[in-house]
Amino acid sequence: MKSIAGLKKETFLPVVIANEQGCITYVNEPFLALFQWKREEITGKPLTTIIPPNLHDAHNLGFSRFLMTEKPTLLNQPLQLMAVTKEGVQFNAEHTITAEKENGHWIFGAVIRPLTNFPK
Amino acid sequence: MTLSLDDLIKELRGTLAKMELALGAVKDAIAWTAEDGTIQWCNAAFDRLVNRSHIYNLGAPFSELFSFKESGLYEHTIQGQKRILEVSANPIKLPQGTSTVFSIRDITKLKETQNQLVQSEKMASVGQLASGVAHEVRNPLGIILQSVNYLELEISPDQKQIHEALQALKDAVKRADRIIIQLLDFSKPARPELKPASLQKTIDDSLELLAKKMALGRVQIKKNISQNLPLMQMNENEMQQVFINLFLNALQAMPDGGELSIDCSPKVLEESGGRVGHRSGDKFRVGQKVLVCIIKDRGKGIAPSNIHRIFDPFFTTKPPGEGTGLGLTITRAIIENHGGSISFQSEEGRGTQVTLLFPIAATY
Repeated sequence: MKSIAGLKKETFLPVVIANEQGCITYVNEPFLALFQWKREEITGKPLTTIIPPNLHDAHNLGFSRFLMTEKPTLLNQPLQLMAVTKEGVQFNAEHTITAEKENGHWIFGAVIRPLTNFPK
Repeated sequence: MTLSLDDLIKELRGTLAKMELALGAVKDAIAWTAEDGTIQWCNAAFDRLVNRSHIYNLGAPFSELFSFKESGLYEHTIQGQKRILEVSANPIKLPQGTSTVFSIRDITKLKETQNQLVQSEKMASVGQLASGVAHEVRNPLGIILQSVNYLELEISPDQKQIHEALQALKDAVKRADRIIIQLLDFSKPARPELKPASLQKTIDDSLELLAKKMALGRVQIKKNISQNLPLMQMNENEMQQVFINLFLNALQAMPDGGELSIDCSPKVLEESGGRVGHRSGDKFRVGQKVLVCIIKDRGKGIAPSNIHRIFDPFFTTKPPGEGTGLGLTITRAIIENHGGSISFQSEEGRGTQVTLLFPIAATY
């Protein structure tokens, strides 16, 4: 599993990085190509922007629980989850999420590998 | 003082985390479904119930897992096992549509326990019925005995064959009467008072009650009971129940017949271990004189995974309807009420040994 710094060097697979408020701080070129967002549009937006609406609550609850307990249940393992593009196209993708603490604050990074229904 | 956005988010996240943790700690399975029927959130108990990773339950159609949509009791098969689920479906109207919160309780074990209790109560009723029947049967037996006595007086002593037949009739009636007395004793409510009594007689009475079953099951009894066994303080009725339970278990463990050995003797405890020692929790002391009763069968034995559960109420390895799972629970309770202890050693395929220890009162 790559570190957050390692994820920033990824050029082939889509990568997204978020801060502990759950706001996107970094995306790479493959991410922009896949999700159809422009960098300035997506940066600063909450992670729920790329999560289908029916999973927003689960994300918020799980994310909040992790911040409080610091006990990971889903990190560093491939997870099949739906994601959503700017146009609202939902697709299945394998997410591998990692978390690191920097200056006492959590940073989250994910590599997203589209599986089926790849949006054209 | 104004709250910054960061602080507000932190506070809200804290609240969400507490809600999530609280619902996660609930034993009932909970799932929140959206109007389209997909699971938006579920707790850990739900993941366990459906035996699927949390992440794969999220967003999945609820109907993929369960066919019910409303509150009620449902039978549901999970991984080939039938479960009974008590479901509460609570619709929640929201501006974006109606969500439903499902609260699911697996009551399979509860239902099994209830059924077993009903069966136990039925058996208790059968016991009461048996005691009523026994009373009714004793009256005609008394008339038969009186009539046989009368005939004996009326028939000439020369008619030896008839006298032999009458004697056989009297013996059979007395035997039937004895069995009925034992049955009545057995079905009487437990009497708390203990009195000096012979363990040998209790064992003999129990064996006599089961003599027919033992013979049919081709079980040979090998009895080795010390002469002049000291009396012990006991409630004979309860102690008889102990031996009947243990002998029946041995009988059922040897479906093709076999040998049941009963050894009973006084002994001075020499080694610590089990319930013997010098600690405050130990039942017996090293050097104490006790009655030791060992019941050994050469049956199928008890699986190592089951041996620690044999005293659990309602635990049984017998087919449904054949055992209540209360026999050994009651047995241990009775023995402990008599100040004694019971332990099992068993080897699968080789047999089981039950060791009973009873204190001997100093005055006996």
